[in-house]
Amino acid sequence: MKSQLFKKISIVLLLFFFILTAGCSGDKTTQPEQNPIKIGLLVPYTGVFASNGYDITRGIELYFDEIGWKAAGLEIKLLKEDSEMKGPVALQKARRLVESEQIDILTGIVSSSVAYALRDYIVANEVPLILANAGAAELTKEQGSKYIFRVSFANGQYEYPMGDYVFNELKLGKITVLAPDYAAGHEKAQGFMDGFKTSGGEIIQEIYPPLGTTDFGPYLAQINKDADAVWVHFSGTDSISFVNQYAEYGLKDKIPLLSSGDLVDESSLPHQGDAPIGIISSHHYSAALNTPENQKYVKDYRAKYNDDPNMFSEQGYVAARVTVEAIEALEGDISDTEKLLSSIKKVEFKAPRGPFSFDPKTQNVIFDTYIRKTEKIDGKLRNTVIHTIPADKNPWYLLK
Amino acid sequence: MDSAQIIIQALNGLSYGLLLFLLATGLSLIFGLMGVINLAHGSFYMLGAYVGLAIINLTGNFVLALLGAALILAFVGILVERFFIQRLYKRELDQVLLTFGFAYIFMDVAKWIWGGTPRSLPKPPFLNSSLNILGEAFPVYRIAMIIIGLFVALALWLFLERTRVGAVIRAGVDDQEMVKAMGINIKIFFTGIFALGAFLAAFGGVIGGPIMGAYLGLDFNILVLALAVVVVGGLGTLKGAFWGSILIGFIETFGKVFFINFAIVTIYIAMALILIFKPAGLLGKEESY
Amino acid sequence: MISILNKLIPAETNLPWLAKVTMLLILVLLPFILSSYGLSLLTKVLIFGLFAMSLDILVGFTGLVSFNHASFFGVAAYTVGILVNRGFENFWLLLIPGIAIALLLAGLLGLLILRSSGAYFLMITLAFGQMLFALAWKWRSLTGGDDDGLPGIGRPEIGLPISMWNEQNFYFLVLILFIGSFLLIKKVIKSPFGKSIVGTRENELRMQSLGYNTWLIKYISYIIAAGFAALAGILYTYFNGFISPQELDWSMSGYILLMVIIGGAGTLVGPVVGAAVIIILQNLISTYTELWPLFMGLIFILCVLFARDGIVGSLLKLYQKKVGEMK
Repeated sequence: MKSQLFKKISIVLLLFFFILTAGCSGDKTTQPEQNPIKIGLLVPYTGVFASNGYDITRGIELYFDEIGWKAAGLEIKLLKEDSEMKGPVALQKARRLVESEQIDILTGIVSSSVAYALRDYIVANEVPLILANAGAAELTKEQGSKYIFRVSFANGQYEYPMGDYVFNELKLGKITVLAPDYAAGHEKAQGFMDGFKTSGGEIIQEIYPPLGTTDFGPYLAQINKDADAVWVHFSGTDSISFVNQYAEYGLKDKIPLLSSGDLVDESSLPHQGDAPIGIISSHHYSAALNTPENQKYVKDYRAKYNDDPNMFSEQGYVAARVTVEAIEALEGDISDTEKLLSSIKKVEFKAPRGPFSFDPKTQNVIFDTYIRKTEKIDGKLRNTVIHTIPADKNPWYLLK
Repeated sequence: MDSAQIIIQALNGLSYGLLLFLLATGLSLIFGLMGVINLAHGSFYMLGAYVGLAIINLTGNFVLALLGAALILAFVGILVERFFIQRLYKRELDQVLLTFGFAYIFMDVAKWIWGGTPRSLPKPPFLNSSLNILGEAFPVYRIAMIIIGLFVALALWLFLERTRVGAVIRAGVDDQEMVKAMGINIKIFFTGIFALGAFLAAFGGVIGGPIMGAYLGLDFNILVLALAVVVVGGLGTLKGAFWGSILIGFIETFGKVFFINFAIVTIYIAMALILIFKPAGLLGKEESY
Repeated sequence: MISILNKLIPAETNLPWLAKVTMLLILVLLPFILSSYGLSLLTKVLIFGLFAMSLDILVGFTGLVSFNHASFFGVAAYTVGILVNRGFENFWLLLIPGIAIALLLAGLLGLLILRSSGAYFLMITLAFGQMLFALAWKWRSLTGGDDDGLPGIGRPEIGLPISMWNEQNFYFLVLILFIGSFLLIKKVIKSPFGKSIVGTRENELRMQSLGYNTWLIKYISYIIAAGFAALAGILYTYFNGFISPQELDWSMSGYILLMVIIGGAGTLVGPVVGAAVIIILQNLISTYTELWPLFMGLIFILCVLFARDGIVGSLLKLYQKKVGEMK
């Protein structure tokens, strides 16, 4: 009797053992010939920022569709993982992608905190990382590495030049600033304020509501009525609530609203009603850009997804193209990581947003900044480009 | 800060608090009567907002969306209660796991159907203007929120105080064994209260939709606020939920005004202080649960 | 549910010694079979298993559903992380301030929160947990804030010529500390003090009339649990090489609570199994579908319906029934 009991316990233990091993075992043995190119994609698919993850994925898949999922004759495999916007989770997923799947390049990464969490691991394991959104300026400065590239933006990169435009072109001298109370919010606001003050403007008030604020009413009532304009940075759910409530509290007709492009990005625009009309913003992209590259991109994107592209999908699209161009320049031989890195660094092309290249020193993207005005044309909101600040005229690039 | 500003902020606090009341009162009654901490309560609010938006897109009618979403979610509530929660009375930890599981499922179902993009509900056109209060603009919609919140509170009060069903529910909160001893089938009341809670949460989701929007993660953000209300006011009573809501609404609003750098924690600091000195909430009974 | 636990605890110790040896053998042999990714998952399971076990002292044995257990995990992690970044190396010496600060914090909070019980206890712990989370988020100069966090924390120096950068070596360090903690917690539970904890949970008034200071019993139990959570937090810091405020958030406390419940509260081994099930399934399912929360939710519900008292709790009950039949 007793031995039978032991048998049962052993079975339970064995089951436990199997559960453990089922999830963990299986290093794929690598075949030397005709290996597909493996690209790891780490973005949030759950939680508040899930839409950013899906948009980046859409941009990437659109580009791979265009080229038939082949680079230099080799098949491309895209391995998607949910980062949940949490550092430790992202690190665990990166371990799987790098150690079990042996990816060649990692891309995605929406939040800077996740990028910081991955940094040491990426560098130690010598995996090229192409950031498709995370904006902390440090990631391509002091915390930079030859393994880290960024195709999106550094916080401040398109906010800084707006300061000069607001003071000298729009002739607005006194400004109230609002941004969410977290690192990226502060960094973006600082970028604008530095640019604005350098040009001679005055910041009369700064307000930092917590990230994820839905009720802005209490903050809106505090805005200084002497301000010539209000500059804000909000994105995602915050951007929708803020723009709607700014109009609701009667401020839209009293104090002009200026913003980083994120506030009225095409990802938020359809959900903001008519409230954003008239907002002037700076960004590295607009779906309304009139270049042939962008018109083709927008057309293809609409055909595939029945939706307008936005900053995130464009960043994904560019990240995908960077990887493919780098691999093709090496004719598919990416066995030498050093060569792959220098090949990525040299990639240059005309992206939907305009001319794209990397700064060889920091490996951060170089782009033109667009000043846009949100308008309603044919019953649909769009961000019309009213002014372009070319990269070589943007003083941000000269900052230390 | 001048008097006009104070009035505006007080109205902000009141409208926010009464929105929380719609959510918190169900949570409180469910807990008081059934002893269930419903972690999926915020999900009913979130799904209410999503379903409401779908109905508005279909029909363009806000009132229809309000009632439709509330009724649909009340039905979902009945299913959840009858087939799952009813098996788990008095098993608090299992209830936590179960309602948490439902919260996960509801969140993913919302993502599946509506995608991850955050959305906003359009206001009914006749409420889409602002009022001039001592030279400051205040949205008419928020005035409407206050009126609706007060109306619901009054209706619930009449229901609980003036009807037989209400009397049984109040008795059930106080002493369940006695109600059972009187030969009343309390299980039906459980289902009813759970459905009412889901109804009110979804109703709140649509009412709050033009301000809070509908997005993934709204469920837990709002749940934490509702739990704070319920605990601060004291569990299981309408009065506690009502005053707790208004208090939390004011704390949230004036925290954003006076402690602007600590707005992220004002509510928690207030909650901790209240519970340190009144371990069972402001209006709760010391010995209850 | 709770009353049967008393009978469960002795049953668990009656497991044949062969079963225990098998279990240990598996844990020792696994790192030689698993891939490096699998080994990292297993290490994580042990760290969270320790963390969940420490919460079980409160939830399962003391009957306090705490929602700020991540505070102790995170505060210890930050303490050690900050000291490592300032040049302190010796792992064993670093354990002292890491655990001490968590004990101190628990001693302080315990004074304020233990008058509340049930749902009120849950909420007051949540409130304090979120205050500490906000502190880590906003105190940039010390913690690195929400964005950078504290990166660049190396692996522990244990004073032996063994490199902890080797994942297998690190795993065995975690395993040894895990087993040591397990035996220690078990000893506490079996001690007269442990009996008084369970007694307080079962009938506080009766314990009081018997002359026990039940407040003190709960207070000490809260502090003990914090100490083991701190150890888990320290190991997690070394494991990841960084800390962020998310380690202190209520979602982390909730995550651990789920592990305790799904494995079986009040069984000690259960929470470890819960940690294994949740971590492995979540990683496994999320590689196949982005709708992984849907499947996790279904698993939670199935567990509630078919494994009352958690996975281990149910198995023990079954085992007990069989033993009963045999007699």
